[in-house]
Amino acid sequence: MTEAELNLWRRYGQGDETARQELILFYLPLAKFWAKQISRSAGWANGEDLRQEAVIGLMKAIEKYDLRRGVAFKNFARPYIRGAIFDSSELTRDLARQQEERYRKVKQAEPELMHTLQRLPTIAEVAAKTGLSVEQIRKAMEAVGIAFAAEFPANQDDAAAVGMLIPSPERAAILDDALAALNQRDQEIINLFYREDLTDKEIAAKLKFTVSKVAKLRQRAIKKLRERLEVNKRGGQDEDRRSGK
Amino acid sequence: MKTDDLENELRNLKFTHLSEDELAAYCDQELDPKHRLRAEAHLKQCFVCEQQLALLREESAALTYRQIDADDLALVERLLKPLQADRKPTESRPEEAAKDAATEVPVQERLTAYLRQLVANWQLAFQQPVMRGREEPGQEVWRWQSADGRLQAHAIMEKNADLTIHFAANDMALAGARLKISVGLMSQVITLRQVSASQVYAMVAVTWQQRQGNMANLAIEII
Repeated sequence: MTEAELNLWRRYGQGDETARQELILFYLPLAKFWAKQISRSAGWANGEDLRQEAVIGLMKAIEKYDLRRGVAFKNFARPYIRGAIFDSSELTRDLARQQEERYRKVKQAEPELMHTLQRLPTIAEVAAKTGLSVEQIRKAMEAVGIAFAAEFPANQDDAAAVGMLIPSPERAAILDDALAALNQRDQEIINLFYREDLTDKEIAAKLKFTVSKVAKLRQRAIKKLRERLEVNKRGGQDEDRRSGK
Repeated sequence: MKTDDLENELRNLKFTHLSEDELAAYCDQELDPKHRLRAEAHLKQCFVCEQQLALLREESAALTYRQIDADDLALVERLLKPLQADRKPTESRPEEAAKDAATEVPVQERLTAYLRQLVANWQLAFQQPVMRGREEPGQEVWRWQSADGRLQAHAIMEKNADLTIHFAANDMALAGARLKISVGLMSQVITLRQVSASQVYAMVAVTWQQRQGNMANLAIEII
């Protein structure tokens, strides 16, 4: 946050009415941006009404924002702005729902393709599978991504339906933390094997180790990772007990 | 956790889409290195998250290259009006507090505070290449009022393509104040003069040629 921004918030906190107006004007591009995006992707003609709802959402966000929480205002305000737009009109909601239907098709196709390809599919591959055009997919994703951002674009449930175990974003963050605690070599081996899908033989050639050494190091790294996750889990449980959860 | 489950998770970690919070942090380069590694690997192959990230980047750009016009100002003022009117009379209003304070604050200091707010408001409103003659003649393109309502200013696009900036105050203590105003390529000294029993007023014109400079860069100095 710039000094000018901070100053505006300070003045607003002291009850300065002009600061409120200046804050609204300062962040107005956010409201205009989302109103324009939604108007474009939902195909609704009355951009003026959307803009007004977006500004109302922005004003609500300014009222609720607490500078001390350390969250960037644009991240705090985004759900307020988008929420105000989508709550405002049955028509907007219906249009977003129509796009959601299309997006549901994409969501169903994605894990099936991931399962077959063992990688994330391209938009063209998804288009071929769903019978939608690339443009239709993009538009639907944009509308749904804006309207239902909180639950977008999670794919764990859809993947589970085709028997794939995909970590949730929270679990992914836990795994990231545990991986970062391993030494550089172990991280690299795990990364090459599991993320880049290289074989032990390919990793051995790359790192100038023997294949059996790579296999051994990888197994050891997995063991260390498992132990680290156990320790973290126990730590979390102890923390929960202490806080009475 | 069985090892094969863990290995499956690691293998499928690249498929986990990024949350909006993660994407926003990535966009602002605030994601810590351990999470950034996965985010980058995922973004390389995921068109879904890539598109969401593109939206957030556009949002950041909109905020950086802010474009605010007179319509925006009018909309904000219209939306703020009912809120200001809704205030209960018993509530301690900042305007009233400011009015009370105004009687105690020395003129010079008060005028400095007014002008600081005025300039900030102007700069926010003019941070785009507006005011270059596309506006309707006679159109008011900017308006501002101090928190206590004592000083008002507005700008009008005149028929002869001049942009006139008007200052009016119902605070007679401000009569005689001399202000050096610099904006665009124009710099001029004006004096707030008493025009009625309860009002002081001054006006400055910025020609079309003078508006070729940076119009957001308004400076007012009390001399």
